[in-house]
Amino acid sequence: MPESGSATPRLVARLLAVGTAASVALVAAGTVAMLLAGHVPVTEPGPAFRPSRLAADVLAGRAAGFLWVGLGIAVALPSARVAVACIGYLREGDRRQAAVALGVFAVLAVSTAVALVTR
Amino acid sequence: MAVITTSSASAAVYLERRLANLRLGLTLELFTATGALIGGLVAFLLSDRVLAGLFAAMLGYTAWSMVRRAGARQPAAAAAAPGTGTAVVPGTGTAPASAIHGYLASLGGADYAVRRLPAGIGLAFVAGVLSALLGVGGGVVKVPAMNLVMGVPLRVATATSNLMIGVTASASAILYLLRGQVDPYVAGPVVVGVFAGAVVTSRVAHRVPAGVVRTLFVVVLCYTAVEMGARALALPVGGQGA
Repeated sequence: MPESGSATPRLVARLLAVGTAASVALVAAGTVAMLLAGHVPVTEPGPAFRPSRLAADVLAGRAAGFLWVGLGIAVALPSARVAVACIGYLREGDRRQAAVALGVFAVLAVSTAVALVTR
Repeated sequence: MAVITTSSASAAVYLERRLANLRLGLTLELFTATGALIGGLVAFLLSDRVLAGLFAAMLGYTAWSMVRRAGARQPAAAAAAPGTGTAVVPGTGTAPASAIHGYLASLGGADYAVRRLPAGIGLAFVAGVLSALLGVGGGVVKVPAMNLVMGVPLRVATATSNLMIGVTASASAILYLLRGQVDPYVAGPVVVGVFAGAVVTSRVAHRVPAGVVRTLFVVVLCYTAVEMGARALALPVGGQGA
């Protein structure tokens, strides 16, 4: 099936639109909370990334919680769109293109693993 | 973070409008990501200055080719049957039969066909290697590769390249995040700012004449070529490439 006849690009577009909107809304809320709390970017280092504290920070309305959740969604979106593309092409019966998407995912996983091991 | 947000926000619009080519992007991404992985592993074997010099020469030639192409007719090696995205053999009106040509036909858009896939894959791989070795964005290689070599329209090439950069940038961002090298107080305002810019630009991009897009891209190529040339000659020039 040619690219113009596939529904997968629209599916990926929706994921990116919703994901980016959610990510930026959270980051914007965190930025406002940061400024209201009197924190100054650059001159003052931000809080470290602690996954175990994310939920508590968000529930307490702390800037760190909103910022880290928003940034986390932003970082995860490109990989998520490769996964959605893979599923979309599989549903369309395009196993060749699904395999290409899976290959991209595998190379990214290997790159991350190699970088973590050699850091 | 800024690159990922720009890529995701603008790719959502470009994909919805069928300007970015997801199938082609994924195919080239596979080889760009592999090239970046291998480039990172062999970085210590190669001279940074020699590579920068070769890259500067290649960018200069590419910029010259794009300027020449602006005044020339588009090649008619592979045309697309309107509305199908299917490549046809010029002069015959029939679709090519081999497996590679079948895959090539599936990569085409509604009004263009993709050609010379092996060359495009090779250049995507080179773009990944150079990104890892020289710290430059792969777009300066991928956009001319798609446009000049693979016959993809310039707007589609830039939109597809924009879609692709998010994946490679996210791989680096995950590492920086895990190493504690991301400051949320700095990244937050930057993400909000680039999102606003990306949303506005991606919605008005189609109104910018193709000639202006080409001219802007040639300027970026020339700037990066000068920066790489300066690095090769060990001259002091600030900043990283495009």
